[in-house]
Amino acid sequence: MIKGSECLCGKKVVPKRDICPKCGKHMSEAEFQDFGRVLTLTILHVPPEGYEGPIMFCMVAIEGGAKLVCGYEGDRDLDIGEHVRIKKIDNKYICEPLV
Amino acid sequence: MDKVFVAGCGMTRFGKRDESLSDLVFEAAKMAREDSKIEEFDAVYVGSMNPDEFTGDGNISTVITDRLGMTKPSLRIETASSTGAGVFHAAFLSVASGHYDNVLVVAGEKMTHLPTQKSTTMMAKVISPLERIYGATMPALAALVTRRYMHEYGLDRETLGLVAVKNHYNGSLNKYAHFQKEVTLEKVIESKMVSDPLRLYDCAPISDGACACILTSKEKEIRISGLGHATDTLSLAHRDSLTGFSATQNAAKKAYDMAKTAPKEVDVAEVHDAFTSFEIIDTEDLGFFKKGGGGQALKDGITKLEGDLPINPSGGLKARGHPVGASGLAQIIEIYWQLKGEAQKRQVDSAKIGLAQSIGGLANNNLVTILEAC
Repeated sequence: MIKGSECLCGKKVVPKRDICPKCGKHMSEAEFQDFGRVLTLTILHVPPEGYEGPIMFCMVAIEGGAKLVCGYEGDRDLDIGEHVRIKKIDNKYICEPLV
Repeated sequence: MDKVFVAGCGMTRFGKRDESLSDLVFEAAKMAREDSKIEEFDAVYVGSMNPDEFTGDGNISTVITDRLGMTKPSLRIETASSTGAGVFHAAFLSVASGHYDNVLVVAGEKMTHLPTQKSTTMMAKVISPLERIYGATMPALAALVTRRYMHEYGLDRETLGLVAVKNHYNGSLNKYAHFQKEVTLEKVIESKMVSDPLRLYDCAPISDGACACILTSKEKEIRISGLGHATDTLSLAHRDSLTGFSATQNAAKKAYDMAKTAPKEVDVAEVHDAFTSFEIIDTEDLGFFKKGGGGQALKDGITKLEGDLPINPSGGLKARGHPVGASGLAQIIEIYWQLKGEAQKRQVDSAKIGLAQSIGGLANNNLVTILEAC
């Protein structure tokens, strides 16, 4: 499971935060499934200082409603719509293909 | 609220410039003062996104006001890459309130002396730490948006490239533009990959440049009729939609309401094309075209200089260049020139109402400005 927050307004976020970014009300802690679908992805070939390229990352729609930007270090390209599992390593979320 | 008019404008050529930021601002302000015939100002409003790091100058509002030879109230406004529009809006309010009569607005940035990787890293500081920890930069987040848009609306690579082709053509007619050369579609779609699917020619360049604009309460030809400003969540992941920017939609609604006008009344627009896909998204967010219809409108030639609704006649950020703190004001100045019939080789036909839209950060601090010829 992945820890996050949800708001009475319906907003769900990962990682957790106390105040809803959308409506400003207090959010309560929530747990989400650790898998979802790739919404969009990119491979960055011009990395910022301190990083080596190419860097692949994607945005995942987590089962249950939150969206999350994740890193990806797999050896094959991902596609939009593909099912992925998300792992938290240190303070980063990394996804891998479910199949 | 008092009526506010634009009395005069000035701009340096954008591009690689040897002069200091305050010298560039001086050049633009001199031109605006000559254009307006106004020499006495109640205040100086300075827009610059990050001079502290780009040039190492602190207290930039005083540095610049001192260079202009003034000892007037001076303050700096910053709203990320929409800073030039942010400072214009702040200055507008100072005149509309009746507190000031004549205000000098200047905006500039000096960036090209730094290596590209350093500039990109500094620009990436405007995005959410939640995304930055993976090494995400502005082009990378824009690429996430672009890829999703292409997926949802079937936008193809060639159509995306047409934004750059159109804006470079317009830039070739603009003596202030960083790039004054046309590009072919082949060159755009074969240029170096920055962040898939965005290539080098999909991205606005890093530029130096400054511009200046004088606002007055005295009646002039060009009136500021509508302003709108809205923010959105810092993190892209916190948004409901990835393919449209609610900060633009909300700012546009406020600006249209204030100006008592509507998208179909707009004759010419400058929109924030830091990335080619953004121009297509912007024209939908502003209500010019239906969602998903921006690419077809571009292909149909509607947004060309001679089309029904010319978009980015200046060349946009893509070809005029993108000194980040200056671009928002440069867009408004282009609209001023278009409405006055002073846009020279890139003049559009009989424009009465013009709009400028500016994006701050990854579309989270956006402003819309409407000018009207009286």
